[in-house]
Amino acid sequence: MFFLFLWSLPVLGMLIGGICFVFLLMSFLGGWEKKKIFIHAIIAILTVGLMWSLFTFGLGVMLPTGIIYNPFAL
Amino acid sequence: MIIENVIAAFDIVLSVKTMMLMAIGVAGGLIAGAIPGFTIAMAVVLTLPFTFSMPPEQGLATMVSVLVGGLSGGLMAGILTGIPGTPSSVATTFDGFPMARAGKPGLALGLGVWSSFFGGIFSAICLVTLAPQLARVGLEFHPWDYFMLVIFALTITASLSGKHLVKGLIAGTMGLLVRTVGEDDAAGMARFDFGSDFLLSGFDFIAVLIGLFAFSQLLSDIRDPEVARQSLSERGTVHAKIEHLNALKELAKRWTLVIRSATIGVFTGILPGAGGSVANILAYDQAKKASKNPEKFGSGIPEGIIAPESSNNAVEGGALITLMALGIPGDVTAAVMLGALLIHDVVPSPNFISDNPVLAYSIFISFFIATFLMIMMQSVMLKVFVLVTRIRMYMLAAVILGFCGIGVFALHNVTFDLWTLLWFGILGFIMRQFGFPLAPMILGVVLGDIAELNLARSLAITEDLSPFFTRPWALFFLIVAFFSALFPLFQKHRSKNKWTLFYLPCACFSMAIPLYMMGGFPRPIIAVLVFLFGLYTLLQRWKSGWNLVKS
Repeated sequence: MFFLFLWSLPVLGMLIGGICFVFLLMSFLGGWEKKKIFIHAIIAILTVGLMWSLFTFGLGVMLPTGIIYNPFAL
Repeated sequence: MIIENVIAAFDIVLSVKTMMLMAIGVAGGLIAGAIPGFTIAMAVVLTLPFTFSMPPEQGLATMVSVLVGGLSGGLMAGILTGIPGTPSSVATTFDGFPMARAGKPGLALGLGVWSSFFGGIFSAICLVTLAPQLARVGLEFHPWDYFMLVIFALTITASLSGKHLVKGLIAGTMGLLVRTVGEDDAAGMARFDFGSDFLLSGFDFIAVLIGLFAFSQLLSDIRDPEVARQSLSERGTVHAKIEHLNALKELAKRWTLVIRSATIGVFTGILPGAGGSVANILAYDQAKKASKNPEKFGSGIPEGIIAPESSNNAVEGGALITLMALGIPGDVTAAVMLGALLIHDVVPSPNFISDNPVLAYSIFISFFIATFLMIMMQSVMLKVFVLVTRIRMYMLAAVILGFCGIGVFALHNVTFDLWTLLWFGILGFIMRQFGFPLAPMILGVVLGDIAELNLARSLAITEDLSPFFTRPWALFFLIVAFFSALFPLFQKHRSKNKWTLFYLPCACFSMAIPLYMMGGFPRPIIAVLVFLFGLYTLLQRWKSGWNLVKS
């Protein structure tokens, strides 16, 4: 799954790619029940979003943006 | 001059920002150390990406805080759930868990916390006093001696990493091999680059470390989805309040045990490769042997908690002594600290303390302050630990894997580092499955450059190889490396084969030679004493008729 994350990084970027990776890994390991999927999605968005913000705005690191979504182009 | 540097270091460490970072570091370390499967080294490795944008003093202070917090965090899980949070608190569970189950979890935690505190303070004092002295010895080292020191460090790490010495040596050699990829520092020649520009610049040391240690550990943790779906709180009770006063009273009665165990911890830390996982078992074993009631060990007695916890917190002071004095990391966490220093273009060597006094003193000071922060935050973090234990392992693992990706990319903004992370994570996972110890490989990666550079320097000075065997320090390290390589074999055949009776005397006689060659005032005297001790041991064994059991 990490291989897929790296492979899709130029397209999805670190933020969306990271959220997808954490969400899919959690769901793959924890199960695909409706309630769990919702919890996994929330955790993935919050944690990756927080880490991404910390590195981007706190530490000034330019993380890969991807083709789909480029927050710096806004 | 010293006072000015100390004041400057205090100025940096006691700034609001650094103190806040240290408090976060200690809190993070306490939690990371408390979660079984997440080692202290992993916590320190994962802190690295955050620190590279900080000044070195601040970054190192944060990492020291994570380290100190992690060393104390392992005891929470061990005492309350019976599952040690880190390998360095395995022995704590032997008596800590039975005491908690017997209705005294608060006392067990208090004993663990305060033993950790005193062990940490003792080791910080040793660090401050011994590191500058050892650095003076290190100034005598020439390239031949340094090369042999690295060989010794790798050999002893392999021999201490378990039953499989050969696997340990293979892992160490693999580490050295990984470090050779890219441009040769001495001659600028391309090696193992296969035409790739990325490989020409070599593997990033931090990406390799995170891959080998953190990534592979997480893969191991989630290998069984059923186990990964469990939370820690399902495995034991996790409610308690620390009894500080009672614990201090118990500790006051057993202060000699604290000092003895902390001394074991410091000296274990000084030995390359022997970390807290060795020290806590060793201290527990020594406490049991010295006790009037050894049969009570394992039933939940204070001595069984005090000994391992004093020693495992004292280990890092010892590991930092060799790192700061010689540039040789004592264990994996010290290797990561070395990585942090290298990120800031600071190369630890015997000149480190004199060349970077403010940085060196800030490490000393932050070690002390982190120990005090640890004791203040332990009660608060116990409540957080209860919350963390409700989280499923697979959730933590997935989030941390995601963090590994972001953190490693942030090091150099290069996607190749992420591939390095993945390949070395898989390699580390495979090595774990086949029983290869990772510590020698990590030290091989860390020490590879030092070994190569000093080998190149030696050969540039003279093509004659004899200084590797004739210079006193080089010969000393070679002899110690040889006997440490034989040590696992000695342990296996002890009390079974007669040749083991000659192991200690032979080691003493051999080590006395280079010690005598060093000259000066105290060393020849030490050499004679070591020789006489070897002779005494040999005579004792001869008198007992070469009796295997008595030896």
